[in-house]
Amino acid sequence: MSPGRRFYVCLLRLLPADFRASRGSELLATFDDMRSELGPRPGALRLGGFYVRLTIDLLRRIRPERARAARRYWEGPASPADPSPRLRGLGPSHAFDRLRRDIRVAVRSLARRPVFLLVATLSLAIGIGANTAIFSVVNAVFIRQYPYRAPQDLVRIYTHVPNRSVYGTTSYPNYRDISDFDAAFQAVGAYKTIFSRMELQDETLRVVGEGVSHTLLPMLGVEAALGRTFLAEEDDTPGAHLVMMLGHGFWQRVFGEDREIVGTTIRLGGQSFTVVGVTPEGFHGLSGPGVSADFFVPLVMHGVITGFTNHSHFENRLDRRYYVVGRIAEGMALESVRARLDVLSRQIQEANPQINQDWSFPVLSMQDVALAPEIDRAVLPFVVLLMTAGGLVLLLACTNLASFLLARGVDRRREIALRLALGAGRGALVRQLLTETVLLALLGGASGLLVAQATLGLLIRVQPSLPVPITLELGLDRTVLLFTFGLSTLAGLLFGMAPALQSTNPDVVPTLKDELGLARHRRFGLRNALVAFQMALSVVLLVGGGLFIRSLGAARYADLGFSTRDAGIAWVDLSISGVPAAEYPAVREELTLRARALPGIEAATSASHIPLDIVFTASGRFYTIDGVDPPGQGAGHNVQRAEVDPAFFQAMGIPLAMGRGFTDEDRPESPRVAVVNETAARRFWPAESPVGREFSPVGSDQVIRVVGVAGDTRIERLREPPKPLFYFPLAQRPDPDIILVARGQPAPEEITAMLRRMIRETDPSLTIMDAKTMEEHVGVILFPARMAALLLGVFGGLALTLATIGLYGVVSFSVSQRTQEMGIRLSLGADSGAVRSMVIRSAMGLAGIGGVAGLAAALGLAQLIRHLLYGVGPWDPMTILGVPLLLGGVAAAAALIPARRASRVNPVEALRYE
Amino acid sequence: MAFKKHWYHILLALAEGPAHGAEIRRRVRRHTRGSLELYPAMLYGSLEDLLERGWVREVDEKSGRPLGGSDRYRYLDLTPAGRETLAAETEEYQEVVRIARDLLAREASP
Repeated sequence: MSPGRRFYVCLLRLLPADFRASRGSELLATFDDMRSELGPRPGALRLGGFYVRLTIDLLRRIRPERARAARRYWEGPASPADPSPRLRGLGPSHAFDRLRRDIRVAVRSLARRPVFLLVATLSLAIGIGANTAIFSVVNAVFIRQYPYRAPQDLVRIYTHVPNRSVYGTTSYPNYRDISDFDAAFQAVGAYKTIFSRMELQDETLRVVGEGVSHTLLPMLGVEAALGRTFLAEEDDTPGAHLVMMLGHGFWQRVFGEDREIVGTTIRLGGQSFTVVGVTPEGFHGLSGPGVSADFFVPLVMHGVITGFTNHSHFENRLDRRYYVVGRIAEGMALESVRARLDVLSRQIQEANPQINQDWSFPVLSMQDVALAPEIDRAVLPFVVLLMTAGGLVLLLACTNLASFLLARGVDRRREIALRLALGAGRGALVRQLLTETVLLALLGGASGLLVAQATLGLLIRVQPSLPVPITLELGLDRTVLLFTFGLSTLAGLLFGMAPALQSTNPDVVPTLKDELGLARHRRFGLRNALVAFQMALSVVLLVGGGLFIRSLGAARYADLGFSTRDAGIAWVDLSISGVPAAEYPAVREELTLRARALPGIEAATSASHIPLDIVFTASGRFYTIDGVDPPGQGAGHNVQRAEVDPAFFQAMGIPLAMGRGFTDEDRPESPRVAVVNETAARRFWPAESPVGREFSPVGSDQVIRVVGVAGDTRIERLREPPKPLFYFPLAQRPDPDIILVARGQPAPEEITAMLRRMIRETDPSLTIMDAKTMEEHVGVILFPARMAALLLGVFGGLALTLATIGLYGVVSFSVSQRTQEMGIRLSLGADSGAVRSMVIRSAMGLAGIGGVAGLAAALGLAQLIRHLLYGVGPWDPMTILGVPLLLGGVAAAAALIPARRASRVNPVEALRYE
Repeated sequence: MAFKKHWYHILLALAEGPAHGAEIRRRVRRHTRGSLELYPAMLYGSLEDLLERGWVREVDEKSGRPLGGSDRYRYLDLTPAGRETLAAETEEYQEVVRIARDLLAREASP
């Protein structure tokens, strides 16, 4: 049966049984009729409209049909041919009635115990809220995608460079070859993220945008909300057509949805661009979740915006800077696309024997890539970890619920036994109790949404300091709401079932005779087990959180190879700022000198890259080194590089192991020199001192002499194998990116602010891409670890809170059940201290069992997250000793209140209790 | 219960001859040029209403079964009372249409 038909059958159950019995098959047949009139594949909108009207039609008929059914039931047959439903055994009520009655009873029963209602709802709200928050993030990063046309046929095409990157960017000539290779694709498009500045009437904005090939948006099925997308001729000659589209969000935010914007010109990157269109709402470009493109220009224009006059990268197969997306040919499998691209890559290699050796074009379905394959792989373990932790918190909340329900079941045994004895069916009672639980869970889910909102607000604030503003839309969209609704219902059903079955056990006689005896003890055992289990779960979460917090602490003090203290950083992009290339050295010089002259500054330096900066990945170049064969059959060694000024090594706190650093004597006209890091020295010149050795860039006859060896630093990540790195003098190789680092007495935040001011005063048109303290800079790579530590810490705390509530509940319940026993003990001469310690001992016993089991589990599970930790082993003694202490303290506190109550029992009243 | 507009259309559809529910739906759509679409619950609920009022009756298979019918459907036909109701309602519509024409004509020629 099709899902639509099944849905209609379910809907029909809302109608009275009488009507369904006599007309049901005709209703269904008419449904079939109407459905087939829509055609085999109607559009989603038409189909949706059909089902909505169908549902409304049916809902509107419920009341009149129920009235008719009731009338016939009581008034008897309308005609001899139509016997009364009463005679056919069809009652006046039906599923709809029963549901309404169950809900009414459940609401009344819940309202009678407000404390229970509050605590249970709160527990569930925490559990469901935590999961909703995590799911919102997962949804925003990994699930939600702009509704592209036929997204299953869209693929991302990468360039695989041996020893460099598996899923790398692609060069322009290779992109053209792929798009001309029409056997495999319907269309191919490329894009590149661009930073620029936009001059408006009263302000200059730093903007992020994308250069997109004219094929890209039509291929994705992204149509202009206003105006048009780009034409083929606009994407042909760099600088020939100055046209742009505005991103929808930017258009709303900055231009107030001005519909007259199309046709006007806007100053972008120092040139006047004509606006030809606005992208549709919800389309943020392809740069990744959280990055929203403010503008789009034809792909060939990206150099024009950033001020390049040299467009040689359009011919250079080594210059990989584009992301390529394709729509595979109709009916073609991904595997055969891959095979064809292998053929293409071999053809390119044969045509260009010196370069592109062993390169290939791996393909991934666009739906499988969230950020970038490598980043996805790094982030996914954290996501799995967080979802697991969230799941555990929910499990805890649900066991709390189950435990409360068991306790209530004991309370309600008389009521239920009476109803069973009076002939209520067990099924009906279970249904009734489950309705109550599900209602409770839904209430918890609704409050959980509030918890999630608050948590997300918190999450948005802990942003890493990046040059691009990350604006994840962490809203609670339909997917998230559906998730929460499903989760709540499932939790209610799953954890309500056992207590419902237990308390409706049809063995009614002992209860009615008030012989609670054995049965109670067994159930009480179950509750104890639940509490111990909760304790164990919270130990697992606390150990996890503890390990991450410790690991974060270790990472913060890790030796990165350079000094991370007392320094501020500012990144200026001269090409965006419209500075001509010839003036780069002069501007850089001036900025560095002025930074050095700031009050309290002891050292200042400028460099094209500094360790751990996010654009370092793209800095690799190929070099030939005498006597060392490149890996594979490649043309050269791919080594990352940084251009730095003479003050760099001293100012960054990177020691020189051998030879010299750069000096002011290393001028453009003097011999080319380089400083290599220790790993490069070991790898390329293992037997001798590298100082005085020479190497050359691939495809150039330039000879570069090594003059010194500098200490290793982390280059891209905290956790990476040592990698070779070449430093070159900035004077010999000007770079449009200038990263100023200043170190000195003032607080790092103050240094950063001074740098900002100084740059503004030097030249207001200089574009500051980013300015932050060195610690914030390092914090970017610590971001996932910090997120994990924060969330697991919070979850651990929540778990402990939930478990404490559970423990408190069990202990105080047991005290109230044992009031009589306490009274007897007290009247026989036990002193109140002994009673108190007895209660606490039993609570600590439970906590102890749970704690030991949890610790054992945590020690095992910690092995699984070993590779996510930094600087601490999975069996970190601080954590392993600290968590049980915390648990013990909290458990004792939870037991104290009921224990005091127990010790104050008035023996006379207690004995009169019966 | 007051007389409903779609009752009129159902009665009108049956004036063409006996029919089952699905056929009635198709006839109503044809008569109203697609502007009235009877969804299943409304259709069969209304038929039930009309049966109760005695304006419609179930007909014997032999007496009035149109060709191409199916066993899943019950056949219905107008009763004399139903035919009378249809005629009376039509009279009323005619009256309304006459008034409307008069008013429109007056406006067209001031």
